[in-house]
Amino acid sequence: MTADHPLENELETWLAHRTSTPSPEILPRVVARIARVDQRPGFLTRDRYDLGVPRIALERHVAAATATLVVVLATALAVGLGGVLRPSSSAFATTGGLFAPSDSVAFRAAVEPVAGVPAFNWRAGTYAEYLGSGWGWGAVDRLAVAASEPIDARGLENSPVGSSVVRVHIVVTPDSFAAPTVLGPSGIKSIGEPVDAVVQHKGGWLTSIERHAGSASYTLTAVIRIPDGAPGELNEATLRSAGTSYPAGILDTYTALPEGAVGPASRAVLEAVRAAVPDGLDAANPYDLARTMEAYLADADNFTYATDVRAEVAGRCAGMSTAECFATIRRGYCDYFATTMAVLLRESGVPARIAYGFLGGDRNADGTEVVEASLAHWWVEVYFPGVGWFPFDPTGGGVGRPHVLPQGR
Amino acid sequence: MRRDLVERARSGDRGAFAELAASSTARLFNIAELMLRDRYLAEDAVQEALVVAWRDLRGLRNPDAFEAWLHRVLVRCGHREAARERRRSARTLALTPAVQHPDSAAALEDRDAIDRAFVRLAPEHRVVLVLRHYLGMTDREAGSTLGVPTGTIRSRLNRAKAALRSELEADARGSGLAMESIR
Repeated sequence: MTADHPLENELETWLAHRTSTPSPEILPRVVARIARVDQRPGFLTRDRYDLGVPRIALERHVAAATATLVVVLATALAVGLGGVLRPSSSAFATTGGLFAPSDSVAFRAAVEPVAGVPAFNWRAGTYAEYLGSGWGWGAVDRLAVAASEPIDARGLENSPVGSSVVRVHIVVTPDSFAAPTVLGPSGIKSIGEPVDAVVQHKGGWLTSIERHAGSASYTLTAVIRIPDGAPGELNEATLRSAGTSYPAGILDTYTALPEGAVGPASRAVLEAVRAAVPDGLDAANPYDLARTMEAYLADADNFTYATDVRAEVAGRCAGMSTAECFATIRRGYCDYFATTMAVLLRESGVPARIAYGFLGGDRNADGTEVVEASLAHWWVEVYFPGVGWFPFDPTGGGVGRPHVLPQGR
Repeated sequence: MRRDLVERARSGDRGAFAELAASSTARLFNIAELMLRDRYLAEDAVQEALVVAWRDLRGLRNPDAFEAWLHRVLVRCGHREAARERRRSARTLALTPAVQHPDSAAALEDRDAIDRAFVRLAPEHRVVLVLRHYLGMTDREAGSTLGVPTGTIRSRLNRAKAALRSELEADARGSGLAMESIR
């Protein structure tokens, strides 16, 4: 600043003294958003980074990038700055046409080496509400759960039935997946530290489990189904005969669809699936319909697995729901496959939701497992009365891992 | 203290990040409002910048560079808000009257004049003036923040100052103010 530059001098003085007060709501909104922003693995996208965030951040922090961009809806919240942050808010993810994971390690796990424990997906949470262009938690409540206290969610959420179940201890060590979300098999019973269980406001169905802070290791106990061929083992016959006497309220939440979710192309896919139900099975039976749909969607003759469909989406999907878009362009990745299956099941009156998390990594004999960010995944869970939520995985391209059951009688 | 907060936030401590955000919001808002001339767009840009910052903080190698890094994130988010707004409509934007702390009546008049002149500048001129003369960035830093060559920053800066000068002159002609102080 010199006398040679009176203009700059004036300008700098003006700039330095010019103050204006932002709305006091900015900070609470930001706090609510950051509490939600890392709810699902892969909230980061290349699209997002095109926004211009420094390259260094892109290289080092594309944690578990999937194609979706989590936008966050914050509702009421109570914030104590520097204290406990307890927003009551809801997360959602929109499907954006690109799945671009980094090659980082998302997290490491050590599964107690109990004989017969199979590979399983690591679930981060579930989406209940279809928004047409993505999925959201819907209205949720947070329940404080003490360390080692049983997480008592409704509807056999975390209690695989049958005799062939085993309780195992698991240690999870986050790496690039630094969200406070607890990752574990679907049958989590308790966590070794105080957590919040995020549950559906209506009905209490489990949505996600959140730690209070930190990205250090945590322990959990889970009940896992073991495929051992024992008489009490869960089998296809059990699911087929589960019936449709659904618990109160479940249909309201898990068969709801927004207007325009299903259009002509997706309706045609549903008809094709019904027609593909094998002889002797029943297209009106939720299990037979779901199994057939899972295989139909994963079939490369019908749909192609592709991680970048931005061009097709931009060119052909204007105004369409993700399900209708996928049925139209017939290409996509897990978000598209899973969304379409969940939507078409809902359209058929079968309660279904999206599960998000990671496919299992290769587990060593000592139970250790490294899960790469590229294993970030969406799959579908379908509710069967008396059994609970059962996973289906319709993603094609050899990516999806359908959960195989013995036939039973 | 601040470095400690940055390190804690970088390792996922939301409380630490909230403290950082709380101490940055006013400044970020000021920058955004100067850039965008619209209170609501500015608030959106600040929110967006803080969320992006939280998400990408792990990529920040040097905690001491947090502030400069955060400003860069904000400028980019502000650009995006501006672009979005341009697409949305051509509605007129008005700068919220700023609270001034003048040291004299004459200074007040000068600053009012700058206020009026600044608002009339093109967005890219306002941005470059803010980067250089409010945030104290070098041409090179400003260039990397905006993703343009250093030479472009220099020429843009010259054009921005010329534009500011001519707006001030026009303003002075209108109000009969002497020109010495702004030449």
